[in-house]
This record gives sequence, C-alpha cells and structure tokens, in this order.
Amino acid sequence: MIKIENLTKDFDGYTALNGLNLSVSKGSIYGLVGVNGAGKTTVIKHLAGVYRGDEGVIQIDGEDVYDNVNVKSKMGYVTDDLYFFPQYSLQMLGKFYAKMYSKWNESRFAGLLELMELDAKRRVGRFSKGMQKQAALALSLSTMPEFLLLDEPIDGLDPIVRKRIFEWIIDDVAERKMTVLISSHNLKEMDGICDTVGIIKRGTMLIEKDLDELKAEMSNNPEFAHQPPSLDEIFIHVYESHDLKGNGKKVKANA
Amino acid sequence: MLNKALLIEQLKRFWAISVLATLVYLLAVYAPMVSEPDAWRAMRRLIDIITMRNEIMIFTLLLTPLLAAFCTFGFLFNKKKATAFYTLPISKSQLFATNALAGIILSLIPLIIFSIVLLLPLGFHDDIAQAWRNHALSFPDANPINLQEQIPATILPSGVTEGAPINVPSVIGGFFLRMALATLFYFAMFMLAFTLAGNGIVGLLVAGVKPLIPIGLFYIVSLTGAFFVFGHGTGLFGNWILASMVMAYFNPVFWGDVMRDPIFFTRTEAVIIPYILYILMTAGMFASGFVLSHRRKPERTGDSIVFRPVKNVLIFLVSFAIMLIVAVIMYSATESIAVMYIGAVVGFVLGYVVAQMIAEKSIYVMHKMKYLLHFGGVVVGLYVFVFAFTQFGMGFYVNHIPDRDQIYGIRVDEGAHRLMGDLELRRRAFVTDSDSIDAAVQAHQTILDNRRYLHRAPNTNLDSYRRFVNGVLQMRERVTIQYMLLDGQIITRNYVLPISFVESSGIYTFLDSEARVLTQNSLLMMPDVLHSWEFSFSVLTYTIDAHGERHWRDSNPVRVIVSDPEQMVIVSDLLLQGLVASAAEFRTQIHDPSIWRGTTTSFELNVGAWPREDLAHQRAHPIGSWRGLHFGGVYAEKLLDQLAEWGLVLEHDIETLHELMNMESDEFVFQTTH
Repeated sequence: MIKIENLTKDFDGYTALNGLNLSVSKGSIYGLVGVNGAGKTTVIKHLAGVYRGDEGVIQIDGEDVYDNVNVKSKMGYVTDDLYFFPQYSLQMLGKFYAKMYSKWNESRFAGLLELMELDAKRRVGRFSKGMQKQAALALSLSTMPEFLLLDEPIDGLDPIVRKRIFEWIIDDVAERKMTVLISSHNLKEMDGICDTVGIIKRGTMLIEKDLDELKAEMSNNPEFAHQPPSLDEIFIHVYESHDLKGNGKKVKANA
Repeated sequence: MLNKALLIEQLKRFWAISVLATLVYLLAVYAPMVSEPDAWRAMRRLIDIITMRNEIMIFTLLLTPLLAAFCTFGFLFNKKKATAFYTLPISKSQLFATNALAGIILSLIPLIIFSIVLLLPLGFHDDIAQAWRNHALSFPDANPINLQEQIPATILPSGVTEGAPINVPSVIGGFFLRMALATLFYFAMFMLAFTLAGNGIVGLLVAGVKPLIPIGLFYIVSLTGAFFVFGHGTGLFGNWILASMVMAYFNPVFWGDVMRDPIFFTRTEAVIIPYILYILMTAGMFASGFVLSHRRKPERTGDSIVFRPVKNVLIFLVSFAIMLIVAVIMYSATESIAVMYIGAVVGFVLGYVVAQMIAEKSIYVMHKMKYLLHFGGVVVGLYVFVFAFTQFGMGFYVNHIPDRDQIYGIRVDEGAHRLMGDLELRRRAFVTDSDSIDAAVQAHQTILDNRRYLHRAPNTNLDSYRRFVNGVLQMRERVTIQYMLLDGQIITRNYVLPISFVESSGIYTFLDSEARVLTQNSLLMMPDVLHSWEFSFSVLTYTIDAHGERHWRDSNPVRVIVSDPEQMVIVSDLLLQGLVASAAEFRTQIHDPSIWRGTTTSFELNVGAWPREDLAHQRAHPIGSWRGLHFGGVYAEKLLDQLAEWGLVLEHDIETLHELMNMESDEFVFQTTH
C-alpha cells in the first residue's frame, strides 16, 4: 500500500505540494490526474525517493520511502524524462539491472523485448522516444516490481504501443498484485484502466475516489451530457467547481 | 557501504580515462626520459618526475582526477541523470562511496602502471650516482652557478652505492605515495566542488577557486598587516618563502617546490607536514562530500550552487577578491590611500555584480542589488574588526621588543638563505655578542620611537624601496631585525624606512656593521659545514632607464673552486672583510640618486658555497648550496689576486676581465652615465 499524508514541498518560495494526501491500495491501478504544474511529477518523485518532503509522511508498505533501499528495490519507475547510460544497448542495461535488482527476471526481459520488437544489441540512445519508453518499461517490469510508478508513460506513443503497454501492466497487476500509480494527461486512456483516481490541483488533492464510485456519484448530475460521465468530464467538472468555490461563486455556477 | 554492481559498471563506463592517462604518463613523460641520449639530461628528467616537477605529469595528475570526478559525479549536474541514479536500489551513502571508489580507482590505475614502469633500472653511470649522493647536479650547458639543480635531501634513497640505479623501490615507492596522495587530494577536491555545484561549469569554477582561497587569505592578512601594522609586513609579496609554503601546503601540485629545496625547507617542512596536511584535508573533503551529498537536494540540480549558504559565501569571496585586486591596482597606480578606498568600493560592487551573474546564470541581476548592502555591511564589519585587531592587538605585539635577558642572538636581514635545519644550525646563524645585540635593540627602539612619523611616511610598509614616482626617485631601506630567544623562538620585524630617517637617526652605523654582513651571509660563520667555495667573476653592465626599468648585460664568467680547507679559511676572511668594508662604500654610492639612473659597469663576483659531501652530515643539516651573493668593487679584485697567487686563476683570464672592464670604464668602480 502506498500512503502519503499531509505532504508539503516548497521550491524556493513556490509551494509545489500543499498538505497533499494520497492512498493507493495494494494491487490497484491509481490514476493521478491534474493540469500542467499541478504537482503530479513532484508527487511521483517523492514516492520514488528522489525528493524529500518538507513536511508529511510518505510510506510504502509501512516503510518510509526516502533513501530506503528495501523500498527502492521493490519499485519500478518510468519517468517521462528518460535517461540511459550513453553507449549502452538494452542487452548491456539488462545485465546491469540483473546485478542491481535481486528479482530480475531474464526470461521475462527477453519476452518483453520480443513482444516490443526491440533490438537488444542496438544502442538505446539511437531508439525513438516511443521505443525508449518501451525499453524503460521492459527494464522496469523485468525487475518484477511490487510497485510501479509511471509518469506520463504513454505520452507520444502510438495507439498500438499504448495498448500493449497497458496490457502488460494489467497482466502484472492481475498476476502478481502489483500496485501501479500512473500520472497522465490522457484521461481517456486512464478511464479504461484505473481503479482509483486522484485529481490534484496546485499541490492539493481535490478528490480521490474509486473510479466506478465516482462515476456513480456523478451520474445523477444533470450537467453531464453522457451518462455515466467520462473521466474527462468529471475532471473538468471537479476542476471548475473547485475554482468557483475558491472564488466564492458556487451559487452562480449552480444557477 | 559499496555497491559492487554499480562500481563495476562505472569502471566499465569510464575506463578510457585510465587508459588515456596511462598513455600520457608513458608516452609523454617516461618515453622522453628513456630516449634521452644524454645521461645527465635523462637524470634531470628523472629528478623532475620524482620531485613532481614534470609539467606534463603534473597536468595529468590534475586532469585525471578531474575527469574521473566529473564522470562519476557528473550525474549531479543533470536532472534526468540524478533521477536515474537516485532511484537505483542503493542508498545515498552507497551511491557516494561507490562513485568515489570508482573515481579513485580510475585515477590511481595510471599512476600504479607508471610507477611500476619507473622501477625498470635506468642504468645511470657512476658519476651520476655520485652526484646524487652529493645532492647537486651541474649541467654543462647551463650557467654553472645559477642553474645548478638541487636534489632534495628529503627524498634521497638510503644506501645508494656507486653505479647503482637510483630509481630503487624505496624512491619510486615514495614517489608513488606522494603522487597517489596528491591524486586523492584532487579527486576529493573536485568531488566536493561538484557536490556543491549545480552544474558543471560552476563546478569547475568552484574547483578552480578553492585551492586559491588559502593563498588568497594569506595575502589578505599580509596586505592588511602591511597597511595597518608598523613592522609587521614584509610588503605585498615579500614573504615568498611563507607564501610558497602556504601554496604548497594547500596544493600538492606545488609539493615539489618545497620538497626540492633543502635550503629553505627541512624534511619535516617539505615532506612530513605536507603528508599530514594532505591526508587530513583529503579525509576532511571526503567527509564533507559524504555529508553534503546526503543533504543535497536533487531539485536544485541546474542551479549554480545547490547550498544557499555556500552560494552566499562564494558570492562574498568573489566580490571581496575583486575588491582587493582593484584596490591594489588603484593604489599601485596612484599611491593614494583615498584612491585605494574608492577602488575598493568600485571593485566590491563590480565583484558583487559579476558574482551574482555567475550565481544566477543571468546578466539580469538588478533584483539582487538590494542585497548588496548586506554583503557590503559584512565587508565594513570585517574591516572594522581587522583594523581594531591590527591596531590594538597585533600592533601591540609587533611593536614589542623582547626582554634583553631573553635574547640569545640577533640577525639583521633574513640573509641570503634561511637556515631551516636543526636548532644548532639556526643558532649559529645568529650573532650573539653583547654589543651587537645592544646595537640591534637600540636601533629597533629608535625605529619604534619614531613610528608615528615613519608610519605616516607614504608607502613605508610596501615592499618597493627604490623606484621613481612621478619622476622623483624614492629611496627606502628595508630593515629586518630578527631575535632568537633563549628558548629557540625567532621573532622577526620588518621595516621599510625612508633613507632620510636611516641617515639622520644613525641607524646606518648599525646596518653597516659586521653583524649584518655575517647574518646576511651566515655561512661565513660556519665554514665547517662547507665543502668548497665557488666563485664566478664577470663584468656586469647595468642600466636603469628614465622609466625606472632595469637592464643588464653580463660577460662570460671565469669560474674558480676553492676546496682546500686552509685556503677556504683565508677566502672566508677576505670575503668578510670585503663585505664589511664595501657595505659603507656601497651605501655611500647608493645614496647618490644619480647612480639610479643611467648605466653602471661593475666587476661582479658571484659566490657559491657548497656543503660538505658527507651524506650523514647533509641529512642532519640539509642546507644545500648557497647562491646569489653579488658584489663588485676592489675587494673582488683582491680576492681575484689571491686566487691567482694560488694558481687557481689563469693570468689570461684576469687580463680578459680587465680588458672587458676597460671597454666600459677605466677602473673597477661604479661608473654612471646619463
């Protein structure tokens, strides 16, 4: 289980996270959504142990995350901003990961590369962005992570690749009870695979709920054109109503 | 603590650094030495290598750890890389230790290979091994006196026999240890700089500035002391021995400078102290790097400096350094204290703007100008503190004459060489008779009694005492009085006094005394440590042009070596008499300002004194050779006559010298033309 309580982070006077709370159940897929600059990547970097919060608690399976080797060894993290050792091929990276991660699964790695049609001997730096993302995902999934953090994993990928990636993730969740947290702009895609969503704005969690429950709740609202409403519609509704609340104009919005 | 997988991976990634450095060591340092056809020159190259004076080797010594640190800790400068490394399943401690070890291994491998290759016997000849034992080499193509090479007593191999190779394991082992320690030092320094910096360029800047901080502080203290405390300073850049020690103690690339010079530095000063200091500083830098790497915030990657307090300190230091430079330049140009202060203010503002631009990585730093007053306030506070300290603390101490009962001996001027050997040798370099001590105390008291007048005299504390200012010759006499107390402590006071004061106060009688001559030429007091006197006679033509620039021309020297003990005693006596007598003669001449413009031709005697060959004695008293005693006049001629009488100088050579003199003037005295 992933748990964040009252997380606050300040970057030189700019409050990126402001008392944020987040909870992801084991074996679920959590969609973290928000506009640009809402704080999604900052949350994920805290969970990955890169950043240290100014205040608050970040725990995975009851253990503090920051500088915790045990937690990091159970975690896979695919960032939007990928880095591979220059000159390294996937084969070389696979060998390195095999030494770094005790649960490394070589046959799975080979299988994933075959599925992705990636050349293991070619330098990863020569891959296209989409291929690099697949490569990163293959490496991460082959470490057999218990927790997978994906920051904009499908940005810039074609629909076929997107579909494949989600299939692998869903398979892993089903087979190994892997816990996944995905941040994305692509709400349509998230709509199909997430169990739970959290909508954040300016570093604060606006709403965090089981997606089906949320849709059921919202389905009585006459504002939505479709029934049940899509995640897109819910997201816009929540964001706007929060804005209006903030401005003291909720009555006008309802009217 | 270490992660083996990452360690191997980092070594695999950056092996090229080691290969490159090894190739440079072997092809650009070792190969030229072994391919040298002349054994003497090969020997000289070997000495340069062993004493860390080979430029290419030193460059490689610096570059290898720099590259290694940049590669292994380079992830700190890039957000993508930092994220990748911080999410690996290792702790920050492991990440630091593993990368540090990888960098150290990459830096040391070339050195290990180079040292092993250096062990191959070089087959130097007997005479070179003999020269090694004598600690000195002469190179036939060089000026026989001025370019003689010192071989450091401090790193000599023990028990070298005739004809045996000198690159024995103990010597090369010592070389490796020193180079390895220097490598670790620089690796730690670069690593620490990169841990502080948020990007590579600032990291390199910090790494470049850091080694200069100690010498900068030294000169700040020296400068403020020279300005504020009468009798404290030896001038702006006067105390080069101390400066070279500070430089070497904080920068192992200058280790060779102190290690190689047994005249000024003892084994303890040149080898033991640097070892201890480098080990402590290296350990300190690794520890600091370890702590800071834990506190470093990855989100600050890309900033100039990732720790705000360090950033402010660096901004202050850069501003302060530029302030000092501008102030000194302004003062040197105008010799006006007021202009110096204006220069300091302008320099500080300029330095602050430059430092902020670097820190902010932008030329738009107007919004930072509001903090200028804060930084300026610190400078003013520091100035007030330094002023108060120098006036009320240091001033009292410096202007205090030791109790007469506690004075063992005196020296006037630091002399041609500073005997840094054991206490016995140091004591022998001081004049101990009561009259000389009383005269010194009295002269010192006279100076102090007049300090109010003297301190106000322009430029009295700066180390320039004969130069033209606005076309007017300003002459000052620099006087150094050293007391050795009974407990062995040496107290030194330096004064730069106007000639008018020296003449009117009667101090010159003290300055021209035998005591001064003896202490300036201490070896005259200890002939037993000498193996031989070496003289070089020549004719020198010296010109000072209208701008105060100096030019000189020297004839080919006639060299004579005196090693017979009885003859050496006579020569020592002649030298002492000549120096004492010519001191007053010389003073009379230099007090005539007209000679400081135009051309003079003089009969020049250059004296060298070589220490005894006894190796054990040399080790106990590493005084090395003695060089650089110049004087002209009739006493040089007397000495030449004496040497001719012994048959040590050919009549033909004397005639040649006389002919040369006659070409320029009629007799062996100063001649001035305008």
